[in-house]
Amino acid sequence: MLEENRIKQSVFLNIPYDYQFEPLCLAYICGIACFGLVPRTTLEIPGDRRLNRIIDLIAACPISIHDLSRVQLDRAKPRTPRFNVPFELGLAIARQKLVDAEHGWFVFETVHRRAEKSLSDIAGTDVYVHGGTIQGVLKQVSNAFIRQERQSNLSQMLSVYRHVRVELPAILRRSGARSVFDGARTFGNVCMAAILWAEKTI
Amino acid sequence: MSHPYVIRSKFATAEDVAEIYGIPKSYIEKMRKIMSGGDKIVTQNRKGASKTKSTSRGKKRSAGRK
Repeated sequence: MLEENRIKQSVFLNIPYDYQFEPLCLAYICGIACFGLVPRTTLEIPGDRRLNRIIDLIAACPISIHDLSRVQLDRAKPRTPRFNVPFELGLAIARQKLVDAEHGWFVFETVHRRAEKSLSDIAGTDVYVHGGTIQGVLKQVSNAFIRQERQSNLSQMLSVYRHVRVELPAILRRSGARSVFDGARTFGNVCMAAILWAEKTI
Repeated sequence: MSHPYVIRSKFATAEDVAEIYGIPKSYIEKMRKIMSGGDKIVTQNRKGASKTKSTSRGKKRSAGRK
């Protein structure tokens, strides 16, 4: 079991796992690390009985970020939209409403006003629109969080991102991975690099 | 949620990440060395560049004296 403090530092990062999203994923990891927090994802969860473990993971994180950027049909047949991100957003909202009122959940999107259309049930909720850019993600993460001590600014966050971006190929090579999404260990190693640079920079 | 979330937990360290992801502590040291190694290379390059500059200036001066 993790110590209580480790649990307090965890952020459930609910994002699409596709190669094109990798730079934005890296921006999320670095942005979250710059606030002294550790991103957690369903990459930690192996295939069997996923739903129970996803619920446990959300319960283990006091904050969750849900990026609704991928609402279009995927390329694989039969072509469907991916429902995992909005489904897990629903689980997080249910947790906040029914179990833990302190749970903080945040909706991020690429396109302005699209989430209000694709998921109109969340009307009235502020959606953090990042425009699909690195700077946009970092800026919106810093809009979502406040830290009284060691508050990072955008240029520090960008600096951390650039360092981790440069190191990414070496991290992937050492992990025998092809992308950040290639397993929990790889993802953890990237988080480690982000925290180390955040410790050094902020 | 719409308001900013106030973080009160202590700033996470590499050791915290290692514990969460089950990463060996030796990996942290490895990463720190790689990071400081990168810094050393940058510093050495800077020192090297300044040495070359002063040497060339010296040569120019001595050449002028001759």
